[in-house]
Amino acid sequence: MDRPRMTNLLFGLAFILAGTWVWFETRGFPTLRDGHPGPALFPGLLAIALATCGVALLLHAVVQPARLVAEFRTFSLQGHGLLRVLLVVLLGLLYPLFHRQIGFVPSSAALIFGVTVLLRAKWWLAAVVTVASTWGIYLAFTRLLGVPL
Amino acid sequence: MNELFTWQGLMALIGGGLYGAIFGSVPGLTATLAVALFIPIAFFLDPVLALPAIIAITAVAIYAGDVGSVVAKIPGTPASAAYVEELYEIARRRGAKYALGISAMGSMVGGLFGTVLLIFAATTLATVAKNFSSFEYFWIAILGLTAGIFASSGSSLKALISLLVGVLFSTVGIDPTLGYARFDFDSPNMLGGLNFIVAMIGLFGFSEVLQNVFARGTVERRRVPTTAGSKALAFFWEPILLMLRNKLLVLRSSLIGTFVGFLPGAGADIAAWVASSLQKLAGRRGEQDEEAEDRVVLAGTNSNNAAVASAWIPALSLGLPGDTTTAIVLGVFIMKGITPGPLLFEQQPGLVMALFGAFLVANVVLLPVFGFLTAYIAAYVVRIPVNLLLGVIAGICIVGAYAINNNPFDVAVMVLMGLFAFVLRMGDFPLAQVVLGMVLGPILEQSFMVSAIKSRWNLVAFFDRPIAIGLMLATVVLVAAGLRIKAQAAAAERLARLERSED
Repeated sequence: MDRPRMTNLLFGLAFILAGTWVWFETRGFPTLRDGHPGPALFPGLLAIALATCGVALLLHAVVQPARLVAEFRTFSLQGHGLLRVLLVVLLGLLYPLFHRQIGFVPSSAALIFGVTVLLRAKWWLAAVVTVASTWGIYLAFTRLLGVPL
Repeated sequence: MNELFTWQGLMALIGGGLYGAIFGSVPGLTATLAVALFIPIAFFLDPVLALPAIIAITAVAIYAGDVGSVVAKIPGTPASAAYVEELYEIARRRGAKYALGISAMGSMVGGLFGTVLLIFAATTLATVAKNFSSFEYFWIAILGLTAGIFASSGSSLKALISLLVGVLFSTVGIDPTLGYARFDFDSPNMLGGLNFIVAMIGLFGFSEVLQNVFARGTVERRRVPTTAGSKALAFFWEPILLMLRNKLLVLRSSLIGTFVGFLPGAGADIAAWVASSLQKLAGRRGEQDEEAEDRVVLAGTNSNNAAVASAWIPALSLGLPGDTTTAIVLGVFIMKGITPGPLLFEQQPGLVMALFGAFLVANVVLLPVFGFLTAYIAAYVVRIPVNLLLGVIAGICIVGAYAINNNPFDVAVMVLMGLFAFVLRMGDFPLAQVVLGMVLGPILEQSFMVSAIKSRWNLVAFFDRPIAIGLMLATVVLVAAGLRIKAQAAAAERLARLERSED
């Protein structure tokens, strides 16, 4: 199976699963006093619509000729690329923790330096950008705009 | 009025404009936040100085929301998200000054249009707004969502999925009927729902960083932007010529902006979405020319600043907030012991005149001046190598998300939204529709539930009122036109592909 078709298939399956999960989640929501649907109504309807669209996407991937599916962007799951993405996500998720422990300046500097190096900048250039931008962001937010960090 | 043209009055306007320009340019810092942080200062100022300063802040900040779109494809406001792709492409094609020139000049004309209506028809328009009930708001939300589906240049199915995901995100937190916590995962941080500004930073900004980190060295390098002609020509004159060539579009978008803006609770975001979506749809019907993207941006910027001015119509005439900013402004009125409403025009004519004057000065003087200043800076920023710029953007995304509520949880939400958007991009799903869903979702659900409960679940009531029927018919016409245009575009593409294969 060609890659774009596979992409649509995977997304179709993911949305069917997501829709089904949301629908089951909403079953536990309360109804209004008169028995009419309450908090479950909207997410429930959205879940059904999402799962239906997932089925449509799946069918689209199966039925459409390959040349028409090829209009969608293709991508390859490069292992190194995914690793780099996960590293940046990890840096972002760890930021609040570091921010609490060591404060804004070192935690922001670590993040900016990490991302810049992962984007193949020379380390010394990354260091210059890190120092300048951390200082700039800190001044802009705290001094100029009065937003505490 | 006289107080406005004293040196204190002019300083308040200039200071407000500069403050708005800086705030609007930074992702995560919105016009609403700028106004909210200005309140402690406003408390000590005379209302004739404080309120014009707020007008200058909002008028310039809404425009400055486009600076992030030009520099890094990160819209500063949900209104800017409506045409972020087009604005970014124009900046790459014709330079940042021309791109921001369309935005500033479009905002100026839209703002003036809204101001003129505010001056001459505030009371009449406010009476129309009073006739809008939850039924009409439901149909407005449906109309906006429908326009969003067909505005996507790619697959309508994928646009619909993005929209559904956005609306689903908006259901997180306390529900509007029983106050029941939905999808909160037992976290108190989730009770208030997902903040769409945080989500927007992740969806557009952080996902851009992830996309580039993922494809390091294998994706096409960003084209180096060029500036056509002289700087002032690109910023002022060429966008004015564009508007002169598209007078009807300017009129239509400004009217849409004014109409949506004066509806309490609607505001500039929805106005920009409706106007730019309609233009994208209209553009697909005709031949695609070089100015197609320019017209989409023009439609969006015309309407969002028209809405900024017209949002003051219900605030001044009825004491009802048109958007979040005017809700804060009403707080300032009360803080100063002023009662907004029809009597305001009789009891405080000086203040009302000062407000009108402030709108005129903000749109005619401040927007072009601060617009040119920000465009000048942006033109240099876009030339910074992409790997260095993206490192800084990652930092701004994190700090911007944190600064909204000073809550580390928002940073985690932003990062996860970025990862989610990165995955969606891989499947060629549009991201702007997710934001649209998050903006319109609460209006849709609340107006539906209120209407349904009000009518004792007699759903025929949704088709009973004349304005509601008009909006429903407009939705039906939009669906029919959208399907037809999409079918025509698909047929033309098939034909072109066939011709290419025969060659």
